[in-house]
Amino acid sequence: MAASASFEEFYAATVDRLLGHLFLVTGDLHLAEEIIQEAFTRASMRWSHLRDYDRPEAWVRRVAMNLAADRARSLRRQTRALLKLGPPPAMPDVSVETLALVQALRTLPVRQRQAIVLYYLADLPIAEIAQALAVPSGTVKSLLARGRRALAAKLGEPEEVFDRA
Amino acid sequence: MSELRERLQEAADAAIREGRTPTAAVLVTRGRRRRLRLAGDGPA
Repeated sequence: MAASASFEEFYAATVDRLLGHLFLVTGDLHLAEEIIQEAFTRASMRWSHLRDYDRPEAWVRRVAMNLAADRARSLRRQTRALLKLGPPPAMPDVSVETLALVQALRTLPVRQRQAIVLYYLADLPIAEIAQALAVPSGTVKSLLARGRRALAAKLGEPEEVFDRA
Repeated sequence: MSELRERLQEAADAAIREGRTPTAAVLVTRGRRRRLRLAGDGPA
């Protein structure tokens, strides 16, 4: 993004993409919307600095991923305490196969979900995923391997078919 | 599941279609108010 870009231009160019990523990480459209709004609000407060970054989107994505991880930990505690009395997650209209994938993703630890989304959907290289998640590259490879294995098992499909095209 | 990427993209596209995001101006205003509140100059 050009250093001269306004926050409005940056927002218009990136918000949809990041919302899609966050939906897959959270498995809940409303939660994804909330997290995206918070991440971009923080970006707006720092835009005079962020506008000079090579890729301010990476900053917003990192903030959003951290918020998603915090929320996942918080939800896990609440779930234990409340025995899942909350409302069901908000889900867009998708095919049965894709719904199964989203539901299977939700059962994975949040770090595995993040690694899978950033690798397969955001198409980021391992080193960049490591930076976004603040973990070593080896950890990203391990998160991907475990996530692929778990997803394949939950969906009843062979793991080999996860090869990145 | 060779179509993993396509299925992820389908779900992301559906979220984008149905998701509601405010305008940038709303978030800028929210950020400005928060900054003022943090500085102790705005409403609680």
